[in-house]
Amino acid sequence: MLRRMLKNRSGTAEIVGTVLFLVILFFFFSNVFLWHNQISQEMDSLIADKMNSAVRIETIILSGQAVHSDNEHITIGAPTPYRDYYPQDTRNLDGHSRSIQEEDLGPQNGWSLDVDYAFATAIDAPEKKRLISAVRLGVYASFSDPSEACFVYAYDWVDTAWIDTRLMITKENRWSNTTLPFPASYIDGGGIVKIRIVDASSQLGINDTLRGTLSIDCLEVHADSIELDVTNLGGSDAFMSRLWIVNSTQTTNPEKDHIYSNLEPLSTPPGSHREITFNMAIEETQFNQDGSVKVSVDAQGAMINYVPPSGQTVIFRVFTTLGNTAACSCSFP
Amino acid sequence: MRKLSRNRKAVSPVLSTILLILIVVLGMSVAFGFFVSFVKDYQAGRGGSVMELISVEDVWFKPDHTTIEIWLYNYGKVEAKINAIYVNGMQLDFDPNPIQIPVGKHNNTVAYPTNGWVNDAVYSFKLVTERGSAVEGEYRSPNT
Repeated sequence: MLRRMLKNRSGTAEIVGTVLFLVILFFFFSNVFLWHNQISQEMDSLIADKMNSAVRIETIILSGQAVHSDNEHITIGAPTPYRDYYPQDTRNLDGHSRSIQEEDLGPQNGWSLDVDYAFATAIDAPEKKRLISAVRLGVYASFSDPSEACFVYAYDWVDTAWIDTRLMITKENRWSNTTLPFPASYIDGGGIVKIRIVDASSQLGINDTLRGTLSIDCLEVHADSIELDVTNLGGSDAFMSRLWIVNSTQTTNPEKDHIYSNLEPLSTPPGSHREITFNMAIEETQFNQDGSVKVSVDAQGAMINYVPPSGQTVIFRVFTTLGNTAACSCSFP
Repeated sequence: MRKLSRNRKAVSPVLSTILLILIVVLGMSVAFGFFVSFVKDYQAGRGGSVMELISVEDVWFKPDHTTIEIWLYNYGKVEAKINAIYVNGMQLDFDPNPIQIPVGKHNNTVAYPTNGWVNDAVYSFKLVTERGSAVEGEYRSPNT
């Protein structure tokens, strides 16, 4: 049977022809299969890159430069040795102190002290004040009277009252630091922050019989601003494309409620951060001709020429070139 | 030579072979041409939809309550063309139509919901490209 079939030559041409036809057909369609396989792999790789370059955006606090006082006003007390105020005495932690002795206010009050310092910050416009998240106060000082301490007050320009910062200056030289809530209240329209140091007994109505001396080695104020921080949570580089700035409620200028800033080519290596700061030298948001917010980008981050609207919660949404997005919000006073 | 030209015996097999070759070549050319055209159309059309990746950057329910601005970004490997937008299952007019988004570029369009939009409602968006791929998402309108 098998021998007969092998010896039968009729139909050989059909078999060879069919095989050839199938080979040619396979050759044609294999191109499509190969192409499809290749692009599927490329797109899988793209999706994997996307999943491996997720980002996070959050608001953080940028520590402001230390501002020192150039202005002292002694209401009660006397400098010792008696001399004018040298601002450098309270500028550095160098052992050169400004010393003020308590003054005798008579048998009812005893020895008292009351001295004010004014600090000129650069936050001299309401637009800049909106970007301030905290006012930090630092005092390195001592008060020689062992029976009492000195209290530190900050002037609230909104309530027009001195507010107790809860800082105390005691017998030993040490740092006393605090962060003042509602920072905009403590900076006036011209950028001035005022601090008052008074002895405790005069505030508590106690007759102070010991004369103390206040020695201030360093007195500084920081106006800390808000900035945006983008973190690459993945294992491959994330390239920023845009920062969307969206007002959560309609403003008086509704056409500018959804604006954006182009961040290309800002890249963030795996696990690292990029900072997006606000330009505090401007009074209103600056736009390019295409409607985007002006921005300057360098290797470390970006600075956007954006001024947030007053009393608005703003959503910041960063968008990467691989379609990843992250958002955070911030309320501006 | 004369003997060869006068010999009519082999004309039929020669002609038939030439004819056969001609038919096969023509047939294969037609098949190849069709196939090339088919592959080209497939790669540019439905097959290329694999390379389309579009992301919705921003959906802005505009204060006039009649328009919605949509920003899109193409992070795929081919230019994308959006030619249909559906909101809550209803097809909307939009301008420009279609929206062409080159690779690595942003583009926007303004859609016109039939009855406008209302505050504090969730809208389901579906954007369909010319190649048939779709981008979907749900967006809440502002409450004020």
